[in-house]
Amino acid sequence: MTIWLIVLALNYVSWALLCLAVARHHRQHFGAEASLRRARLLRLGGWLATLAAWVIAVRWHGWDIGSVDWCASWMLTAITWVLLQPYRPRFARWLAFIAGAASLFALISFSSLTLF
Amino acid sequence: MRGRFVQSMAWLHTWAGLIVSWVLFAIFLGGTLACFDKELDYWMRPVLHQLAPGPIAMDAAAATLREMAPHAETLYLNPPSTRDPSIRGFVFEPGEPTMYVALNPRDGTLIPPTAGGNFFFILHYNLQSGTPGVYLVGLAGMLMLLALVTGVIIHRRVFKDFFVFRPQSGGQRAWLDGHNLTGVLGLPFHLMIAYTGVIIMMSTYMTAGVEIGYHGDLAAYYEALSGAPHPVEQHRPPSRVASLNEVLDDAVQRLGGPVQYLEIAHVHDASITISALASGNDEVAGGRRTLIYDGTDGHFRGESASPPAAYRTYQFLSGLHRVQFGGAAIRWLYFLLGAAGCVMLATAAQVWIEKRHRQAVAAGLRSGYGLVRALNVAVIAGMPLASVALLWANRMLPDNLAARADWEAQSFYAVWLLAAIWAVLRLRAGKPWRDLFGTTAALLIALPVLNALTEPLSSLPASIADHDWVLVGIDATAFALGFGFAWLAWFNTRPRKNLRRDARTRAASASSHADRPRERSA
Repeated sequence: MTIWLIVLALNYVSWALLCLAVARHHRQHFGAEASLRRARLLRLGGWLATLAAWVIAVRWHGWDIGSVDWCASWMLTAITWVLLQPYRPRFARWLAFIAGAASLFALISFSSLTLF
Repeated sequence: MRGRFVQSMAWLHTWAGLIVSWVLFAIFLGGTLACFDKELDYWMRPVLHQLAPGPIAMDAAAATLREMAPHAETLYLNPPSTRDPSIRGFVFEPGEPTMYVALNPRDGTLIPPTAGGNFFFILHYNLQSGTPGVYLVGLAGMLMLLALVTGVIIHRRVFKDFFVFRPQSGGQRAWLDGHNLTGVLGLPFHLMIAYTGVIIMMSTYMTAGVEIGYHGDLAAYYEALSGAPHPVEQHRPPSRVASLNEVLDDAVQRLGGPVQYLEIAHVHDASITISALASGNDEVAGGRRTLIYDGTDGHFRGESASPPAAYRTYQFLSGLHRVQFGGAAIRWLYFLLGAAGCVMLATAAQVWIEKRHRQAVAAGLRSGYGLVRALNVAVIAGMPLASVALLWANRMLPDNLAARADWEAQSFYAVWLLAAIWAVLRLRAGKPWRDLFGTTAALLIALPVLNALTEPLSSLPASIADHDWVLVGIDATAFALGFGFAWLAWFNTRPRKNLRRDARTRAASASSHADRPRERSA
């Protein structure tokens, strides 16, 4: 259950970063377009977050079920992020921040225990 | 050249989509609810909610099945699982329809039948209408694949508009954004579910392989797939019959995990054989190990060969669709993605009518446009109402009613029919969307109350105290969904923005469309 939530959280973070890497959406959120470097970093972070989610999902449930879980949660978090954009963009951003922090914290505390 | 190609794809997307959209919506909603079919079954069988702990009465259950179907050839018994505490019995009797019942796991007696979550499952794959229904669902699935592929082709800004959703813009723009959002971001799921859905029933509508390889003998085909040779009949009754409880215990021990079902073949012959399939819910493709036991004395005969690779591939694809693996977490993801698919279809139907808003107003209700609008309300708002009505009927109908399960199903159809009639009657002057969504919301929010009144021992507080999270989940989900439908009803109460804006939008359309390429999506 916790792993499932971490996968969801990391995928959500991934979409937040990938979306903010797009000039148009960066402007909507921060008022200005991102510098090339910043946009690249955001995009890289986005891909890394979902890659991490996939690795965790596969370690948790095997390559077949893990991949299905990862892919399903990737789609759902995308829909969640985009649905929040017109209504609660700031909340969506904070949620990404909290999700990222919480999953990092959970991973660090887990890694010393059972997961890896 | 490309322009013409895209245009013809847009035409295909529009019309291939429209003609099956209502059927597809019913299939999608049925499938979404069927993600939790066993959980709904459990909710709808209150007799199972207060089971005392104790041994599993497999033998008593088999005796009940034998009594109900004295000439049965094959029995299947599913032992209780984490999702469903009942014993499920399937009976195959030559010349009789397949019987499917739930049995009490403590004494093996028959549990009064209910339409159950299984109703939605059957609705999902054959619209409750047998083989013709399977063909119709297969056709709808193929057209859905077509609509998905053409949808990607005509949506020229897939990546540019990936994160774009503009509900405030009103009218067709908002509906189209909603359609693209659920369609594009859920695309891998929709493609997978449509493709595997068509594949599951493949041997029903693509019979060439069986015709050529097995000379049309379906039984031989299935036997080859099963990997286990059929026992040779000996034409004399068995001297004795092995204990299923002992076989089950032995199988669980040998497999090191739960058993999906016990199959008892040749029930009345000395060649009686019991097979135990591993549940295998830790693999997408499901269990692959089958243990075989002698049906007379229950001794272990050996393990059947693993299914051949081609069949294992089929099992993987069908497993991907049926989501019996991985537990509740993944079923929730499928449930939500299925709901996104319902939204994709519902918004598609709205896009179609919004795009033709002026013609629709000019043509009036006695026209094709009126038919589409009526069908939209009747199906998209009517079916959720009918589905909740099924749960209400389960709790409201008297316990001693004969054929109670049929009455439950009839309530579903009756409520849907009433909803459709209401939709047609109120389309001209009223707000049928609001009426039907509002009623659905009220019934959903009141469902935990109804449950507490009719089954006090299974009420929400009682189930929380019992840590019965399946019951808690269904009551709480119904309650939460109720607020979603209340929002939909409220949404449809507001004056139609685009009606008033229509003249203004048209006047300003030249400038407002200047910053984006001409919209081609249907």
